Amino acid sequence: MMAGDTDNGETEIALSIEDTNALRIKLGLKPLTEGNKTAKQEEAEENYVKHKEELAKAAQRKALIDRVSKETEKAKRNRQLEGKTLGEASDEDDSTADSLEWVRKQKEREEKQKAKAKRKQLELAKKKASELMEMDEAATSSYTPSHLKGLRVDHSLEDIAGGGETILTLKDATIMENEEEGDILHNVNIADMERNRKNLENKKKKPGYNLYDDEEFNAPGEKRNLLSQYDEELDGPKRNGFVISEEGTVDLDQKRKEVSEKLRTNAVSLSYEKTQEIKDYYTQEEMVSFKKPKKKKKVRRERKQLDFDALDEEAPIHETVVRDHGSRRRGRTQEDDRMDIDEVPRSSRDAPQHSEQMDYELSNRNANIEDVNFVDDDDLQSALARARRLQAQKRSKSDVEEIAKAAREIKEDDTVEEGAVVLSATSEFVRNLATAPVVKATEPARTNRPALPKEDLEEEPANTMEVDDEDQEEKGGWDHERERSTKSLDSSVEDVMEQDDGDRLPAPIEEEPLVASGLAATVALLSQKGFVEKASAEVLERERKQSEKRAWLAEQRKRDLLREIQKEKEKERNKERNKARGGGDRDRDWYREEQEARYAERERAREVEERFRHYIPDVNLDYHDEYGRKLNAKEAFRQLSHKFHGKASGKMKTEKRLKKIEDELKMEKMSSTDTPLGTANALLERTKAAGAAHVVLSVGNRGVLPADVALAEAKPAKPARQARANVTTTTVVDTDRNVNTYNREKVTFGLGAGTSSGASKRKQSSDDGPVSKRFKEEE
Amino acid sequence: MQLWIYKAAMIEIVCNDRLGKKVRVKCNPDDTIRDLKLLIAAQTGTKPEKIVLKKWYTVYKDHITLDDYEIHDGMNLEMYYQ
Repeated sequence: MMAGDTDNGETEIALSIEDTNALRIKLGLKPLTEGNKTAKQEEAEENYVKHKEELAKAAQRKALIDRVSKETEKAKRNRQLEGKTLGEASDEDDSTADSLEWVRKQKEREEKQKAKAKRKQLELAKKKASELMEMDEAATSSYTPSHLKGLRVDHSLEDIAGGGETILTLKDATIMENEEEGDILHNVNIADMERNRKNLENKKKKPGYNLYDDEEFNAPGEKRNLLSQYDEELDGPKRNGFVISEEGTVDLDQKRKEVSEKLRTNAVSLSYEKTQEIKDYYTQEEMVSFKKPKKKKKVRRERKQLDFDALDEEAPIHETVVRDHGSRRRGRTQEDDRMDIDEVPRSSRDAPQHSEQMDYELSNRNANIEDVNFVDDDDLQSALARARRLQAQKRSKSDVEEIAKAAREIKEDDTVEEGAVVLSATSEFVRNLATAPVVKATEPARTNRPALPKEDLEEEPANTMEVDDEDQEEKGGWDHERERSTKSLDSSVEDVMEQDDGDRLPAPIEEEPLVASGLAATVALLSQKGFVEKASAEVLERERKQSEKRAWLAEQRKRDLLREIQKEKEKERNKERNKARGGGDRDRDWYREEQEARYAERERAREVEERFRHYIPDVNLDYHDEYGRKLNAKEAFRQLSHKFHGKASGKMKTEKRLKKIEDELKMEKMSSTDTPLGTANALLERTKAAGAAHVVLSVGNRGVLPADVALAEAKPAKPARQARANVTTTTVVDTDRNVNTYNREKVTFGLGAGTSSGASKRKQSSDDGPVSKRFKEEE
Repeated sequence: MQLWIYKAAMIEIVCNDRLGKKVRVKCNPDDTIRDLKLLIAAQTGTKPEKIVLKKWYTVYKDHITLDDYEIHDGMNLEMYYQ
């Protein structure tokens, strides 16, 4: 065993072969196979050697080839430098001095070379020609003109026949085209020419329609279509080719013949008879050519013929009448016929009944109209009939029945039942006519009577009942209404009077209750004027609850009091009893007291329970802001939210809210009868002071109020404020004066409040309230 | 044509545990891993059962020959102990 140092300083343990073998034997392994090669290994080695050799051989060959090619290249290069170089030549023959000789020599050489090249070329050409000849011979020997039979040529005959020889080749075509049309011959040059011609034509931009292009310019027998310029685009290019006939020839005369044939058929003879007399009318022959365009005959349904036996007698007339459809010629003949017939009745005038009969016959009144079809357009009629039928089907049987039922009901409704009250628009109108003025006239003061006497209340329902009873008779229209209204006039008046204010028809001017009559009247007035709101159902309910609660509280208080008293009494009684007994056994006493106390406790609990049975608390949460305004739900929530979050809205928002509140307050403070500046009041004062129904602001076109028109007694108390007065002016033309003078007055309906204040103070007694003042004025 | 060549039947393998022991072992290609381990054990003085031979993550199994594992002359094997 040996241990040697390796490069990286590690100790490598290694054994020699002998040691290893000894170890292997010891371990029971076969010894190391040293150098002994298997057959496989040998083969592999041989293969390797072989491969190496082959590679070497290939490399050698390649080198050889390279060398050869190099050599040949070199030779090629050297070959071009054939002949002697200048130096060599000069060296060869010492004629450098004779330049002329040199030039001659050069020329000779050049000629020689040229001749050589020529010879070569000639040889080549000869060879090629002979080859071609051979090929042609081979081709022509098998391809004869008869092979061309049936082949189409794509050019017109004129194009080809024009000059000498034309070589035709097979036209390029796709397989599809070839299948369709077969082989087509064409000449490339001619095709090019044609294409060029077409392009030129297109460039010219000829208009499609030429006014002067007559039919005579067309090819004979050809007729130009409408918009013929597009024919080519729609149908593809026109083909004017021809087909090679048998033996590979083309009959040049054929086309010519065709053309001449056509011309001959359309020939017009130029000879004319000079002696022909001119006639006003068409001759028989001319009539044949001149034909009126036939009118389209209407298709008529085969009509059932009338009674043929009957028709036979009157056939000529009747038929003309029925069948005449306005053709002039036919009409003429019929007229003639009729004339003939008319003569017969005229001659026998003495028999009037017969003529009458004839008239009838003539007027086709006797004709069986039922069978005659008056209808012009059968299609339309059939369509209409179909539509009608459909409509009839749609309207089902049940529908018809319903209609009948409705009709019956209407009939029934017309007969009023016994004991029913009939109300209709007419009756209502008439009734109002009768009653309305009477109400006003008879009892004006009773309308708003605050409290009704009880007797009246009891009487009136009976009255109304009576009215209803009397209305039972069956009468209709105005009479009935009149009677009814007169009969029930008194009662109905009262009836109307006693109805609630809200239910009554609203009178145009309502009576105002007198305040003097009492508090109720005052309240009524206030409510009428809208100062006091009428309590809604909700408010009433709340009030009821509150009063209930109050009652309940009072009750509780009373009970408490009673119990107190009772307790006192009990105590006293106990004391007395204790005294009487003289403080017996204490234990029993205590026990009894305890029991009593418990009993009392129970009793009280029951009482409380009883008490609270009818306790319905009226809870109404109100939220108020810092100014004492009542908040609605939204505002309340905001307040709560602000409090909760400890954060109020910003400056702008707060200001906005405050402004809103301020405006609201202003609105509330505003007078309902006057403008904010009190102009109405001022005007009133002014007119009173002036003693006129108007106030003059200016006269004529002067914008100033003249002194003489006079503010009368109305002197401004505070002139400073008058300037600020808000004056709205209106120009009023006084009709009494001459209009032409333009003497106009400006009348105001609104003056500053300040101006009137002084006057009003003077006029008005100070103790009068606003309401009483108004009443005074109205009186 | 087969191109591989066996220069010698005997091969030498180096086993390194990277802890200070590096063994150069001469063996036949048709030896099993077990035989190799015996040889290593004889040279290093560790028990053959304790030796694990690895190449990367492939743990060589005892009953398979070196030839089958394609372990050739001069190859390095990792040696671990279990």
